[in-house]
Amino acid sequence: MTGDLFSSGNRQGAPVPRSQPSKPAGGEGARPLTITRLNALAKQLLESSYPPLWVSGEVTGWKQAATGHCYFCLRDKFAQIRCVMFQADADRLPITPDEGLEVRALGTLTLYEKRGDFQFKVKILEGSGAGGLWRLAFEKLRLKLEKEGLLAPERKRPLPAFPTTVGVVTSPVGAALHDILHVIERRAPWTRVIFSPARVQGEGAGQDIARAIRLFSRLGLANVVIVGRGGGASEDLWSFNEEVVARAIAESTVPVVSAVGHEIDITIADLVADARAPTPSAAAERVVPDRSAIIRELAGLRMRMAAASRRRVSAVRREFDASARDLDSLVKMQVRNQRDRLGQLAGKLDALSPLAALGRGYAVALADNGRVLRSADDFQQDDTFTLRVVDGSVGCRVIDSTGSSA
Amino acid sequence: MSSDGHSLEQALLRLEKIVHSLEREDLELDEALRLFEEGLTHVRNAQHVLSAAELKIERLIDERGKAQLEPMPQAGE
Repeated sequence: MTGDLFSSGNRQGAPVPRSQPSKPAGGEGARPLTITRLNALAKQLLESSYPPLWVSGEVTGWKQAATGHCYFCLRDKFAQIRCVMFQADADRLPITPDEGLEVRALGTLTLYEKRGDFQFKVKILEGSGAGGLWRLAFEKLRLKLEKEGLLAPERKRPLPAFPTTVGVVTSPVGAALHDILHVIERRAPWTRVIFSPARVQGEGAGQDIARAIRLFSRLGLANVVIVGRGGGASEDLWSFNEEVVARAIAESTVPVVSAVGHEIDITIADLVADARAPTPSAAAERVVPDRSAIIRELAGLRMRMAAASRRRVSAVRREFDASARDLDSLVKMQVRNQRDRLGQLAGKLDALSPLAALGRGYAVALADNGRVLRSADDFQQDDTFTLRVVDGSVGCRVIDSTGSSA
Repeated sequence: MSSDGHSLEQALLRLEKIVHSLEREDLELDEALRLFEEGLTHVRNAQHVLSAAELKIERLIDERGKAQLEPMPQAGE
């Protein structure tokens, strides 16, 4: 502590007697301080007087230098202070604070020695509103993507019912991969799974995830891709809120299922994806069919097919039998018809027969040699002939005839 | 004959069509029997896929701009 240097009041700059080299510079009778030394002392004083402090105020004049360090002011109604946030800390911010944003900041009072600037070195910056800067960043990106139509329900593609290959983007460590594989093996072990590892939290994770998604999209190896991770704190899930991930999902040629394990929050990835699941296991269940259900369905189809075939065969047999019966009755009917016809003809024939004529009283005259005597000229006086009547013959002699030969 | 999700899907679709035909249409006997035979083929194909036991897992990495696929042992981890 250099308190004694200043406790003696304003004796700075007094000449230092050469005979007292051990006395601190700048004090009573001390040699003058260099500005460098002066500023160093001031900085030391500031930094040692106060621990890191939380302050609240408005952000104004935010600028990021090429180094990545950010310079701005925090102010309230009556005062302001210059601030710096170094690149490593600023990089963790999800969003660049807008002009006038109400924030809370954790930092230390210090002096920028080179320029003698009193400033507040900010380590953590948070939005004062609900959810802070993270919420703000989320909403900003959500709005942007929504305006581009990337969140529209019509954009969401249906998932293939029987994917041949499932792509998985997640961390090679952690339970997510294991859970997904376990579910797929249980439900659909014929499925081919291709795993593309990616960091799922921390710096560069968003890039990893996006790269893996684009790889699947470019190569077309999978019919559907699951991208996700197990549960974690909000800040751990942040990579799934990054724009680069959203773009990769939106541009994917293959349907993407987002599976970020969380209880309450939704991520940008969830919003852009074709489907979302609450956990990696749930995603796997959505993406592959269930073997036991298919086996049941197959059994049902077999039974229906066999039953339908049997019915068809029975129907054909019945038709055949019916046809046979029809044929039978047809034949019988034909026979009947023939018989009737025969009877009719026989009757006709009968009517025409000479026997019928005899029955009606006609007689046939037959000569001794059997010749039928038809004309009166065939009869000569005293000729003998036979008269055939229906029930016998009579011997006759011609008495007289009207014929010409008599 | 490939033993994958696509084959399974096709087998089930064709089987459904056949069952539908057998149940609804007035088929000639030889046509019905032919469809039945075909249906049995699809049942067998489906069963073949369903009988798969182990998952095939591969790792996809982008090494120096070149995508590589390598087999991964079953994740017992």
